[in-house]
Amino acid sequence: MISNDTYAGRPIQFGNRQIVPFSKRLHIQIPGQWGFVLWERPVSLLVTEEDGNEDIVPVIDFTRYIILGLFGPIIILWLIMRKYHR
Amino acid sequence: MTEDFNKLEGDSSIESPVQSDPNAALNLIQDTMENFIATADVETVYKEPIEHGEALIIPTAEVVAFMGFGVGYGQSSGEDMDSGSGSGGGGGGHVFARPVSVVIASPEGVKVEPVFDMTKIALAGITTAAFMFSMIYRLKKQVKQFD
Repeated sequence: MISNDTYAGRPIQFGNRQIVPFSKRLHIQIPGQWGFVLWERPVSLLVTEEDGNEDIVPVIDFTRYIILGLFGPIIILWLIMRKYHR
Repeated sequence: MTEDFNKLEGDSSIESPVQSDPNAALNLIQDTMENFIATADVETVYKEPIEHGEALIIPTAEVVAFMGFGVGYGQSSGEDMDSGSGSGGGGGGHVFARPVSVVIASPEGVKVEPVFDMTKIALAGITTAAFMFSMIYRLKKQVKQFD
């Protein structure tokens, strides 16, 4: 079973603003209750102003993107190597 | 020595709750799994807000949890002393968190400041560089052989 759901956290009141945090949870359950993998990360914030104006502020994980960007060239080089090897 | 052995034999009547009830082991696994799952929650990802002057600071983190269990049972059907049965099980898991960003709410607005995990980035950079040098070297070697 694999699920990737978004969850809303407890609203935080700050002055005239209300902040609702959202997170995403990837849950991989091994059949038969023998194990699982959980990955929960922040995704965005819903900021509601006093006048009812709503704004979504994304929470970006730059570290993850940098790491993925570094590993990208490895995969490209590996594919080139495989082509040459054939 | 015989007395000691008898003592040990006498102690064998003392059973742990898991030994006396097979379902207790499964319940223990279930409880442990639920406790692990509870660690990865919205409240864990967004920590308790900290008030600093006019601003409100909310640290955020990503949480990864994994766990695995295994049980086994076997029996032999030999004669007399050879016959017997046994069972066993084991499991393990790990939970780790990494800071992602800091949410700063001030009278001017709400902004998200990223947190760079320099150790992870440096390790990924070193790994990438090592792989690339090794691959380029092998590629050059193959091109030379081809020529």
